Amino acid sequence: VNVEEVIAKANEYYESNASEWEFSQMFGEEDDPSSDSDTTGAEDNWISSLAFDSTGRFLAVGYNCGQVVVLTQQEDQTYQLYTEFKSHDSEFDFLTSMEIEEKINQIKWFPYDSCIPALLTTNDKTIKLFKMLEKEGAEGGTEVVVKPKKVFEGAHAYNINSVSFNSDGETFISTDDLRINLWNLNITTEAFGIVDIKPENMDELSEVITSSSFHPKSCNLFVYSTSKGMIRMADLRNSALCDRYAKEFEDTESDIGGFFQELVTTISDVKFSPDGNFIVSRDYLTMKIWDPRIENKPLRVVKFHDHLVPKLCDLYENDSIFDKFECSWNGTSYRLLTGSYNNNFYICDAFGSHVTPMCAVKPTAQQKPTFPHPNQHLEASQKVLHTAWHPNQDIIALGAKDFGYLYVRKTENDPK
Amino acid sequence: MADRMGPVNILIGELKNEDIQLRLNSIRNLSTIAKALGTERTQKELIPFLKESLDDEDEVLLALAEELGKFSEHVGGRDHVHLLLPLLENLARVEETVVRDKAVESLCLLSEQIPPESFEEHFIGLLKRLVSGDWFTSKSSAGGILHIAFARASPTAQVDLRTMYKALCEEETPMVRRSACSNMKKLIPHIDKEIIKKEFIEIFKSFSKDEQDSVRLLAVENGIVIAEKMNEEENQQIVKPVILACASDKSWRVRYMVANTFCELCDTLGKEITQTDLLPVFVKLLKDSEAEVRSAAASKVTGVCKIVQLESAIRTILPCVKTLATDESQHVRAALASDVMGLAPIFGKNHTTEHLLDLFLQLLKDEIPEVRLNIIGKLDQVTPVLGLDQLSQHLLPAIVELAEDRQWRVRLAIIEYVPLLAQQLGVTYFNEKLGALCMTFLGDCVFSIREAATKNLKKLTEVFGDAWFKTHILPKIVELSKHTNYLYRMTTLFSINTLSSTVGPDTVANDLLPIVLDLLNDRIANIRLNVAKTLRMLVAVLDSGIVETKIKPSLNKLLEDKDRDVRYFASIALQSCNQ
Repeated sequence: VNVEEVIAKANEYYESNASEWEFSQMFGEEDDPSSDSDTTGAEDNWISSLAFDSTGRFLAVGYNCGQVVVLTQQEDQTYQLYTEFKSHDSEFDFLTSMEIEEKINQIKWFPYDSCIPALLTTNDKTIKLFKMLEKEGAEGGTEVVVKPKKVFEGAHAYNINSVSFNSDGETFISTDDLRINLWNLNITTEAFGIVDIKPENMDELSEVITSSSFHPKSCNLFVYSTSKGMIRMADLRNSALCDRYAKEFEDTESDIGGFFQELVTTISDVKFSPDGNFIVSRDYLTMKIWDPRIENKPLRVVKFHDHLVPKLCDLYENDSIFDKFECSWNGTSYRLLTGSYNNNFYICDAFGSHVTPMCAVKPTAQQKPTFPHPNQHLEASQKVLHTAWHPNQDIIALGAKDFGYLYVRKTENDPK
Repeated sequence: MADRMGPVNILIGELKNEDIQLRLNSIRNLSTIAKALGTERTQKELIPFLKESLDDEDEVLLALAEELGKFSEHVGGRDHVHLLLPLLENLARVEETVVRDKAVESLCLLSEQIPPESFEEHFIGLLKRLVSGDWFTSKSSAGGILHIAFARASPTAQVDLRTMYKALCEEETPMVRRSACSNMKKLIPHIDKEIIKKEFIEIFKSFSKDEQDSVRLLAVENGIVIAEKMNEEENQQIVKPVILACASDKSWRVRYMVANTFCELCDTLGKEITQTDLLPVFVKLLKDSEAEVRSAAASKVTGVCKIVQLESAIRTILPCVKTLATDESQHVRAALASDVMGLAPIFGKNHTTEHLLDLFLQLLKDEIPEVRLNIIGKLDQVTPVLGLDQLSQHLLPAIVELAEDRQWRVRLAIIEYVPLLAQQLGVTYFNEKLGALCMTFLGDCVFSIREAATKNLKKLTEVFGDAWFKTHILPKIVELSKHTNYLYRMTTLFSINTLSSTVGPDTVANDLLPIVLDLLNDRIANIRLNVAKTLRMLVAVLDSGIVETKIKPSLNKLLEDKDRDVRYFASIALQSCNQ
């Protein structure tokens, strides 16, 4: 892979596919304004994960209340409701006397096209495999039945943050704060622990795993990110236990220094590009694009949160500094998407050479699309934490509290 | 007829019931329904009915797939078997893997009964439809029935089949390639050698270089099957290079497969290739960086040494084996321990003494109990070669140490070896060295140990005989029956339970019965309860005279016991007296 060539192609792509985006759809239920200010109830309807399937035909939306809504693409490219189901219920862990939330932490679709689409959903402790079947309904139309086919439970002492399918179509990994387990889709009674960073003495605990992802094509590679800003790549071929990682990526140049340094370096999301040639990591202030062959510094650092640096103190006071933002690649691996505050989101082209800031808001007759401006008041409660990009079209999905937004790229302005 | 149909009608009705348990029950009784309906109605009504309303619960579909495999007599035998195929075809396309696999299994079963004239039309037709299905599910199932088609198809049809197979092998989705690769070993036996060389070797080679680890690791087994069809020279050219490549594959799982099937590889590739090429590979696997691979190789040491020349085994394999005895992974050492004893008969007395004895002793002193146990378990392979005396001075301390291990599961494992040791050591040695040990097991603090010890007594008595029992065991049992802790008095009764069927009736009557009767007035109700139970067991072996004079009166006394459960078990025992 010649990196210069790729960057050049990405620039070309940007030139001929202008990054201008327009609002397409919005979905979600408004909070009932007449209800009491019961914060826990109000947050039930917040989106907690988003995922397109491998064809783009479906978009799955997971919620804090454990509900999953699946939308399907219509002929005019918009998405309409296909089905919805309750994925997880809250449970009480008797051993720790703690409630296990029903919040859906992540949704991933089975990577291969199948007559019956399948998806994995996970909350803090349990992963489930669902399949969606179309049947003849009572009145002759088709109805969609969603069935939980497998439940993978009891393998995580800590909270699960991610699941990822292997390209072999047979296995997947689930990751919690300290461990990564490898499962076979057909076997729910056993899992192999392949990474374990738990220290012998828990008092020495200083680092947790924050996210993980399999390579889209190589069945043996996966990456995981940590709260110390490290990205480790492990090779399943090397050994049965992957504690000795194959590569470790770390950006040793830090801009901030001081008290907040550690808090902003924690990586909230890490993924391979769809072509498998690059890795992106999202931390609080930046997105970093990595060339897997170079471990000591990222290929590019995309900065779009510099305006937050002077406000870190406030963000720490209201806990916003702990927000975990996701990021997404587009299908050609030339573009990146990530969310921010004030319902802003950023499209980054050509490895960060061009950053297009946008704002997710339903356009009304009076209000034109808004864009972030430097001196706007920071509204930290309006945050786009969750993002997803259609696998082969320029359609992006954003999750901001209880509302989901779909934006499409405007194509009238493309050079012919 | 009406009577017979009644329950069957219910079963038929329940085929559509909402309750999945009822549907499942009906499906499992499908042959009952079919028998009641008769062949014609089964053909014309039952099968179409099942086809139209294919259930959507995986459990029901799985049961259906299984039943259909045995259904040919119900549809009228060979000439009508094909009626079942469409149903199974649908099941072979279903999403759930276990259902598809079962459908494939049933299809293979039924295929044997399809008459030759209609085989192509029905079976190969089905195969073609599965291969050209849209989804990976049907294609994967196609891979599972191909070998049946190959076995019975005409040469012309076989050309088509080979084209189909090739297409499956080149599919993009790994699931289909995996199915094609793992089924190759079933195809090969049915194909001409020349055609294998012309068309299948290429496929075999490309599978062994597939980008998916899960496909590559299946290639090793295919190599074994192919090698069986080739002669030695062809194996040199064709199969050997692929196996050698797999043995140094980057993925440890592929290397593991080579290690795991190493003996079969040696057998099929022949002595020469083994000696020249495979032996160095084996040595490398014994030193592999991944413990799982070393484990697999370690468990094949004896098998390999049987095939290669003794001299080269001593020169090349033995040094590795010695290193493995101190491997950092306990699983590797345990695997080695369970295999390495087999080397003794191969090496013979002198070589064993010179090269292996120290190794055995080292493993016998391993810090991990499992390793030590694995050595002890295979002693029977070494004692004929070395003789007992040499071993016993080292063996005994090791056994005693394991018998006193803190972990009760280790102690349990030792007990299980005791009868074996008894047989090999012989009575004198056993009495001298291990007798005391067996008795202490009876008084162990863990119940499972005491229980295993009583079973052990039975086996020992079977080996050594009643006289030995009376001299060595009986006194101990009597002593135990007077222990102040009731748990040990219970052990006495359990021992008598297991021994009652082993020792002669005289011994039971004269030696065991008195002990039981002595406990009749025990102050613990649980003991008295078990006295009743034991007496019941003794009734079966004692003659009626003794039952009348000694047992019945005792049980009658217990019928008046103040404890309700004692009275209950006494009455049960009395009932069996009267039968």
